[in-house]
Amino acid sequence: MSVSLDETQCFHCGDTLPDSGFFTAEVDGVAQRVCCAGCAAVATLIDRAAMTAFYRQRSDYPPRPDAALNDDAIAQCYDEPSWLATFAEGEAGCRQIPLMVTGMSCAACAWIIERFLNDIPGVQSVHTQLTLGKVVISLAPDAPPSRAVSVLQDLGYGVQPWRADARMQHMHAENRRDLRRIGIAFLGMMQVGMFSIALHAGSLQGIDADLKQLLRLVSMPLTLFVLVYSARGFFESAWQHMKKGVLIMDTSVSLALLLATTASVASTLRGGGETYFDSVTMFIFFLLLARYIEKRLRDRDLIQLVQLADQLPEFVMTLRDTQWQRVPRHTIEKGDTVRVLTGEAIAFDACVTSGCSSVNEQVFTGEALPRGVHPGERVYAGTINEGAGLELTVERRFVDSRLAALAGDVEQARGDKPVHMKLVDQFAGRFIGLILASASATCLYWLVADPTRALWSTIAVLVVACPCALSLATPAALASGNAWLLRHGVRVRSESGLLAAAAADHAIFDKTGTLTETQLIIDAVVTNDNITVQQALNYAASLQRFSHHPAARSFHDLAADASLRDVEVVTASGVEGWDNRTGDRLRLGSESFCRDIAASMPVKPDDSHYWIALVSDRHWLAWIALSEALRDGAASVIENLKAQSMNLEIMSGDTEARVRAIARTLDMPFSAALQPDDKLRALQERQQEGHTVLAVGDGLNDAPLMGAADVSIAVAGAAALAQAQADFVIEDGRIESILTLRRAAMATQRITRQNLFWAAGYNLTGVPLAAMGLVPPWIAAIGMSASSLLVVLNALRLRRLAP
Amino acid sequence: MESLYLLIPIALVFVVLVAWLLIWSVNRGQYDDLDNDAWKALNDDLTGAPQKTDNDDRN
Repeated sequence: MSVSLDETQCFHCGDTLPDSGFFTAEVDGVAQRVCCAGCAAVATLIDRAAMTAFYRQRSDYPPRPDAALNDDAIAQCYDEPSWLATFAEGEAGCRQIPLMVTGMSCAACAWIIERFLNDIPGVQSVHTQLTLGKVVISLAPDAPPSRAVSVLQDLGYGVQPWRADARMQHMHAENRRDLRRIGIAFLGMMQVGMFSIALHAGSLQGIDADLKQLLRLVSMPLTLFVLVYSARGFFESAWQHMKKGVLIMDTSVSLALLLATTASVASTLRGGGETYFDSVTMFIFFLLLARYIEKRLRDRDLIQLVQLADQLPEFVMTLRDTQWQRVPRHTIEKGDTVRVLTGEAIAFDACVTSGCSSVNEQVFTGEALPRGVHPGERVYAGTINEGAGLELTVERRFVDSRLAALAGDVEQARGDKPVHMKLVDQFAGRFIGLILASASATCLYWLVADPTRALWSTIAVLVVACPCALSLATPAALASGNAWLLRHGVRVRSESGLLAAAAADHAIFDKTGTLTETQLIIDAVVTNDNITVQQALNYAASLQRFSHHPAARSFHDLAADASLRDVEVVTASGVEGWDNRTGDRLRLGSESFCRDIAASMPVKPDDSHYWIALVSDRHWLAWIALSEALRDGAASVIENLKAQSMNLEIMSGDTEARVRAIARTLDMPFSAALQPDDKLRALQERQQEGHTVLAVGDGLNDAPLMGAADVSIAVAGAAALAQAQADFVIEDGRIESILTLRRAAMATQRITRQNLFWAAGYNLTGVPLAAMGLVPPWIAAIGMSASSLLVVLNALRLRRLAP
Repeated sequence: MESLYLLIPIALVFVVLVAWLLIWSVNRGQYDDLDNDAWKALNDDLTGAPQKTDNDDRN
């Protein structure tokens, strides 16, 4: 189960070690390489507490500790009684503090959290729920919650209060109800099955009539209880749809269950004929199980959506009584002044009142580089402040923000998503009509020809025609295919996505972060005649060493040995320094920033790159072009999909020239400078032309597109809202997984077709034979169970698909 | 074969008992986290108290 590390990965968080050097942490007496001081601190903490079993047992990596999240001031806020009361629950002598802990990636994380928290004085018990990311701490009334919060932060996890959510509570209740129903169905199936083995053996070698009757009499109440308790959901949903005049799969399931049970009860009371108690309980159990597996995948999707609302910082710095204080976000009103530190997310739509910074708006625009902001400009909730600290006046609270509006659009787009499962239901509608017609015809014929055989021939028809196998055919194959994908690096968020993925004939790719890496690379350098490319890059690297701007990271691997002094980073503009050797002032950065000291510099060569200028006093030295690197494997994925005769295109929010550069490399059609709703409209045009559309994206700006596409794939690290919309999430940014996914989808489709073919074939050949009175009811019952079993076993073959 | 007339009703009593136990444990939340608890039960390494080691210098 445990993860395997290679030498370039951080021992703690699994990230790639920075080229600029690594830290070490001693774990079990061995010095391990880690990527940052944060990871080193957590690893040391775990080692000191003798909990290093964590590293051997984990099946996934813990989060990389974020220094911005680890703030004792935030932990202190949890001691504030009035705020704590908004989510904590009190019981006599102990307080229950429910927390949402982000970054719990596997059971080992849950274990280590429980162990650390249990060591805190005053903690009475800790209960973690891994699937929900929830930790409930029971505290003695006098113990401060802040200790527990700061321990969690020290371990590198993000902590937020857990607020009761109606959807989550509903899901929780439903989960328990389903488990009860499945459990009862299982017990019933085993017990009734045991009795019927005796009955079947008895019909072969002879059985005492009284004993036979006893076995049937005890099977009957057990089956009836399972029918009422566990199969209730089928009857309810069939009835709901019947009232609207719609026949669905559940209608035929209910009908089959009712008829088989009625016939069995009738034979038991009469003391003759066949009983089908074992088939009924088995069918209920398998169908419930298959549906439960599907539902659990959907539930994870919901958890993501609920967590999304809490992605913004829970506490913000605001000015209260002339002092800066951390206060809960929901107490902020329009017009309040808040301060956003470097690296923090902005929680409101607001206007900058003081400070200059750069704000990463990739969530809206898809552009990798941040936008410079100055006093008077507007910033949006959900964007990240990457430069210096900012003071803002709140204009709109989160609920009215642009981010919330986008989230609303996404919900709406989701509603327009074409549903592929419905096909089975349409099929069921026709199928059930056919069964009823043939059963009535059989009944009428035998009433005229031979009234004594009428009842049993009719029941044989209904039992043979029972669509058990048919209703299991698709869910069983999907459950199996989804399980296979989960083991091969693709997280599955919707149960029917595989069917659409197999049917897709048109794919829309986002550019930034999907086809390309988020990290820029140096693509070209244009210099004046007096300076070599090498010299220009050397200057640039030496200046950029001081900057944390995303573009500066591209320079961190280059030799930087120019001797400079007084280097200063000018936020949202560039870097300035003085060359020790020549005494010249150097500037590196945006065009306007450089033109200030070198008015004669030429304009940038083109628009298809991000250009950075390098100038000295009065002289232009160089233009350095940064461009986006294609992700490893992107080209082969595109080529492969083309070979499968899919239509491919790029839709990006970025500028036309930059999109064209990438599109030309991959030889794909493209459209650029699109807003999220433009993308959505373009998608709907494709769908109206009759295409089944696959969307691949990562940004928040792709979320409406992904919500409405027939099937969608998010690249890991994508915005949470985009991930929540996606049918599949690819782990580790391995874009080749799209091909794996496509193969799994094809295989699943093949198995589903085989299953449907077999099930329909069985029913179609069985019904005429039964109608002629050639099938004794006990053979019909065995056939019914065997065909269901065969469908399930056939689906299990998917697990052996080669990776 | 007469014993079956006694044994089968006893089996029924057991089924009822087990069904009641199952419902009770689900309602108590014992099956709320299928992933975590399934994993914990199988890992002997993590169930015991932390072993004191030489570098355990906490007090």
